[in-house]
Amino acid sequence: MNKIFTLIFLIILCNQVSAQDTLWFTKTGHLYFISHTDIIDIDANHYQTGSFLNTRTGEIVFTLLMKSFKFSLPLAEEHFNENYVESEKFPKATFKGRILDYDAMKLFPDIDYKVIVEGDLTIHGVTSKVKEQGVLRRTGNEIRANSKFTILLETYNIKVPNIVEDKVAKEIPIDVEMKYEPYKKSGGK
Amino acid sequence: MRWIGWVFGMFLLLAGLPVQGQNDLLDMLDQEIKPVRVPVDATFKSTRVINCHSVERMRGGDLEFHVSHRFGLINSGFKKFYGLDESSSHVSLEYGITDWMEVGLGRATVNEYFNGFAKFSPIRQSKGRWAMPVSASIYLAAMTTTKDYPDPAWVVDAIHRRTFVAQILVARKFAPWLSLQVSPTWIHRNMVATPQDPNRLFALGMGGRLKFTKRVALSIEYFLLKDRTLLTGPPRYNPLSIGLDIETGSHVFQIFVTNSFNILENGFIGETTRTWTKKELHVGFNISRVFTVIRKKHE
Repeated sequence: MNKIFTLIFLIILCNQVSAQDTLWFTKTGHLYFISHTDIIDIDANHYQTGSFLNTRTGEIVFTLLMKSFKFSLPLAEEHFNENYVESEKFPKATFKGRILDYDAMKLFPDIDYKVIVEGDLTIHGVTSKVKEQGVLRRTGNEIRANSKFTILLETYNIKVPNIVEDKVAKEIPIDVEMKYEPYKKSGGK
Repeated sequence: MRWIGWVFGMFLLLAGLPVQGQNDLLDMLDQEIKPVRVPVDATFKSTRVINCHSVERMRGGDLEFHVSHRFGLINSGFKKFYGLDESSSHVSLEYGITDWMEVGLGRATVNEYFNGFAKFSPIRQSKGRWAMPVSASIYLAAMTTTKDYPDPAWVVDAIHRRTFVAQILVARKFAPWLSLQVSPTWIHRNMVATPQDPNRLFALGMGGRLKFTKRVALSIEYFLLKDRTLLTGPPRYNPLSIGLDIETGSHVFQIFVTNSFNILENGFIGETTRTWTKKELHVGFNISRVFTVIRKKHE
């Protein structure tokens, strides 16, 4: 009987350990986007992007509050929230996806692991399948993730009225810069 | 008995494994990210409800060029081109020193007033953690008339030309389509027409907007002037204004109908001598153009 309990204990322990060991977390992820036109550049940063990376399964998720984008043009921030992404109706943007052909062994310290991430990106209440490239790099006790990709406003049903059509770009490049740390369950404390 | 232990063990192993797989990472993330305090923006599109200042102000680094016009009486007929021949106007420059402090300088045609003001917005409506139900701004203004006195023999100190205004503007955005504001207003006039006229006036302003598309809103504003029957001269009426707010990028255009010809607070609150009941109405508009003087740095 003792052996059985030892086994049960070990199984539980293993599950616990693996759950903690493979989840990486950040709530201070950085995003940057710019709408570049000949007339005006409108750019914004987001420093409170939350993300989990599961290095066992290759799952990756992001969530962010649209309202927390900081614009260099203050009036653009108001227009962004009020007229374009409608932050009160759709407060969050999320991404849920996984790394294609994920191989945990390639996440070797100090070596870039080029990945392709596929999943559902939800902005402005519209969910779209995306497939983008990125780089993971493990250094010491952190994992950095970087990606650059472009979205079309049209895809997410973000309408630009004719009157400001030449001031807002139709394609928006986005830079993603994450610094994950091993996840320690905070339990909301 | 041994196999029971093994089965039990296997069961636990299987039961234990999916826990992590099934646990939706996105839900976990939501729990992990604590709710933050999110300010409620754009209670009003403009820094004015119509005549009255709104709780909004320029953000730090933004400069507003604000132009207001009130045309003559609509019912003045074709001879006066339905009031368009005549107008009172006010132009001002208003600058956001920080996100919560704005200063402005302006000039009004009626009684040739120069005005200066400061608007502070210490309280912002917010959602989430430590939610705040309303936004509040304090508006403090001083104005001085540069008009010649009717009789040049009058020798009066410059101080008598001044009027001061204080307002507490409290607004709540109930929904993206509905914002309401109350605006208790105190006006102190250093010189009044007769000794019977009170120097101090108190008025309660009420206003709101109903946004029916992303860029167009219906706005309404009304002021109740206390003691208005004590004022000498022509009877005074409470100003009521109804109009549309139209936003186009960095411009806000407000067009409305009002019974006040004056644009500054002491005028539209204390000197409105026309009334809706006699159909004595003016068409008015406000145009606001915002320039970003200093871009914010976030690095």
